[in-house]
Amino acid sequence: MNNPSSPASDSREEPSTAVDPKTSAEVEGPADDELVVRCQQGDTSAYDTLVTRYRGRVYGMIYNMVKSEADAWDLAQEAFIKAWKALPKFEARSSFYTWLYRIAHNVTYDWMRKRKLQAEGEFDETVQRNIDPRARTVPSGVARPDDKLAHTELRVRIEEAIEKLSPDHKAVILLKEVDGHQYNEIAEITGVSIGTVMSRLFYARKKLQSLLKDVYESQ
Amino acid sequence: MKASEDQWNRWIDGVLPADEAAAVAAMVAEDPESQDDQAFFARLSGDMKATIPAERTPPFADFFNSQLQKRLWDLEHPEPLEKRGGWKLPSWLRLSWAVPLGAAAAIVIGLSQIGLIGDRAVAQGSQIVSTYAPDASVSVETTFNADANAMVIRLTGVTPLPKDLILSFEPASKESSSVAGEVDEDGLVTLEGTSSLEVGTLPRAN
Repeated sequence: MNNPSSPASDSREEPSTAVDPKTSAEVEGPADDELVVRCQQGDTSAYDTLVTRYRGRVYGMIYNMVKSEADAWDLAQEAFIKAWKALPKFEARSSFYTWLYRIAHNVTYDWMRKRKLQAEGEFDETVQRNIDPRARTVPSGVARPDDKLAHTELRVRIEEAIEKLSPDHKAVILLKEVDGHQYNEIAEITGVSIGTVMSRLFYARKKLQSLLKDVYESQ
Repeated sequence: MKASEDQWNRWIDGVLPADEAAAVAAMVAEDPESQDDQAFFARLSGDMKATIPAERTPPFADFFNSQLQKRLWDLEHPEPLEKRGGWKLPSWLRLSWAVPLGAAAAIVIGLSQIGLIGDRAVAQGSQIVSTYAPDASVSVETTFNADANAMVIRLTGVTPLPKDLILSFEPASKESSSVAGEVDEDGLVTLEGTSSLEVGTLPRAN
């Protein structure tokens, strides 16, 4: 198939599918840009507001990549620390949310690379990670609303298939299908061109199709 | 002629202009293996959105924020480890939490990410970033013992342990390094190792 390199900007716009936390009914308080200005002036309480606003999305994105509560916790902390350090250089060329997501992605990706979590034999059906949707590494003590998901066989199959992707392919498929980012946002978050995003997305989708075809054919 | 990867993805996502979408559909129709792609990925996309949450509340979310604030404060106000005295969390950071009957309250102790993440150099001895007791009746105080070169954790308000139980220290992550710890009769806990920990109780081995 042809794979022409695409410019960073693309004239064919996607309709926005990402959920913007700023438009959620649950979000209150100042807008991100106002909080960022206050943070750049050293206001840590403003940063605490941003952390509260985005910790769920950052932690969720990282957890979906590393599948460990404790590691996702640590990495999310690290992402917010790095974001605080980099705030003086934030120039609002993108939204704070996208910029934060890029930092979280880079922290996670670097950690995964160090932990050598590259998939071995991507089409090797014998390479499996036992994923127990109910597994916890820290006690919760309190029921979490976002954990009240049906632990269906389909979910397990989907997660197992995603775990067989390399970090590059896993990242783009999760950013697109779960987080609802647009192609240009994925390019910015992962630090690659839109052409590379499209290539990775194509490969990831085709691989998931081969791994999950039987699931949908049986339904 | 086949659709490019760019065109195929946009066609799957339904964001192509009508004329381009029709052209891609015609190309796909010539490929027996791809004819059901759009329907397949429409279902898969829906199932992924329905089964994989994009947003998750971190465990002990208030502790997440307070530990972060502590670390940010430390960044701005570094001081030698030996000069650190006792440090307590303000009471407003504690939450009420059900205490397991007949056992010590589970306490999450966040330890510094020594050698694990970030660019912080390995410090001499242990370093505890912050502590958090979900049970408001339990307080946690940490002091650094220069002679022992170790951080000492004092738990106050913990239900006295029955003689047939001992404190357990479990790493929060399977990948965390092992932790060794001991507690004396006064409740002083000495820990060595780095990790996030769960402190609970175990039956004493007979």
